[in-house]
Amino acid sequence: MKPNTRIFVGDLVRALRAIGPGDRDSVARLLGFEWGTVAQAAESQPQNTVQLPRREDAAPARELESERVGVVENLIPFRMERTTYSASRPIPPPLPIQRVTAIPLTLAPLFHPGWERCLLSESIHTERDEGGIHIERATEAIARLQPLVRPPRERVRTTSRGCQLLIDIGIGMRPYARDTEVMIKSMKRVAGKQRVHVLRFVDSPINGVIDENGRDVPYTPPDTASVVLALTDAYCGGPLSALRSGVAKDWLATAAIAHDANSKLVILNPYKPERWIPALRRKLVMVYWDRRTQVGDLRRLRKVR
Amino acid sequence: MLQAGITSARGVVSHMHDTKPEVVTLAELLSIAVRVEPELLRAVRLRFLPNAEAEIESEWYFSPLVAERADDWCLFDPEIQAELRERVSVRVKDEPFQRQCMVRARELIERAHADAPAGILVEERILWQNTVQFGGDEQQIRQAIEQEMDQVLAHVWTRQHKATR
Repeated sequence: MKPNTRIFVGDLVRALRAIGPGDRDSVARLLGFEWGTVAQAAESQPQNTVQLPRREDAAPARELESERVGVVENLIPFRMERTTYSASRPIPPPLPIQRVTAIPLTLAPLFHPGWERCLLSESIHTERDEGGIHIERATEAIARLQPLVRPPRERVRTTSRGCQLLIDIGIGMRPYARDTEVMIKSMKRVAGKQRVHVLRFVDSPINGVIDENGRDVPYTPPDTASVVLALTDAYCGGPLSALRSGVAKDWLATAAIAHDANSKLVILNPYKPERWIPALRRKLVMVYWDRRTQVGDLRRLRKVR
Repeated sequence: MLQAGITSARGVVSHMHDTKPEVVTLAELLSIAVRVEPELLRAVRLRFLPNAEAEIESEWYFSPLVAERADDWCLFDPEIQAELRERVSVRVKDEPFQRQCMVRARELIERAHADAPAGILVEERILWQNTVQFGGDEQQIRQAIEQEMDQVLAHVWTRQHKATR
């Protein structure tokens, strides 16, 4: 018999059934079984074939087991690990790590939360002839017997053109990276999802921008004459040792490009106005992105420049 | 080596305190946190330094107090954090107001880390006990650490036991 071959009692039973009544002892012996006392006992007392040791017999049974283990250890090298753990032991209740059940913190906006929506709509608004009919102009046209083919409309402030959102991902804006992401969501709520176009850049958009599909493309201003809102430090933030990929005057060039496309550049800068580059501060609409900025400040800036 | 590190950390904190005291105040309040997320930093600034401007956050971010910087969280330099906690533990012993501030800061940290991994929660609890609660009593701190470690091990064991059944 090959050493790996194993024969079970089931094989013996199948063999005995196959040969029918015959020399059962020889067949059993051929298969490696000995037709001995257990089988005979089983025939005489079929209900009591397994004798469980009583409690007082437990110690001798353990001795017997250790003897067997000793014998097996001589044949096959193995290590037996003993444990007091029982598989039937119930799972203990989980020990909870104490966690606070209060409302988790969310990022508070850099603008005053009560004014944020108003500040955002003020920063991206444009003026269009989309209001009600301009009565004075309409009356004048009628008095002059001019046809009212397109009735004159009142000029109103609107955010319907949306905005182009330029997000600076340079080193100076890294502490405010989460704020810029929150700003995208806030702006989409104010202007509408489809009307906010997000472009990302490092230091200045003149060097190229990353569009919403992750493509690196040259910067082009919006063709809808909407506001270009840039969230940037405009070269004044971050450590002095940081390497910059352009110069501050790039922002003046960006403003000129936007102006040529009938758009207006508005910059939100989280760094103190004292740090802003004077030339940019004088010539651009740069707003301090902080709680102390009010709607009036923004309105004044947009009127002046 | 350790002594040299502590001395150097003390020098850094002292220099920062002379030049940017508000940044050090912010750092001390956050020194009992394992990691600092932008929302935690913002909440602590607005709560304890309402007159400080947004720029103080970037000053903290780029300061030598911070060792690792990511968009979602930052880690203190361990030696500097130990120095900051030592300053806090000395102050809370004498000044009840400072202790109250630290209690409020701890509440904000707990809220910010409500969903953080168990390891962070336990470490922050140990930092809290070490810095404020036990005021440097080594015996109590040792006992607290042992209890916390038992809890973590039991927690891990329970999870693994469930996973294998």
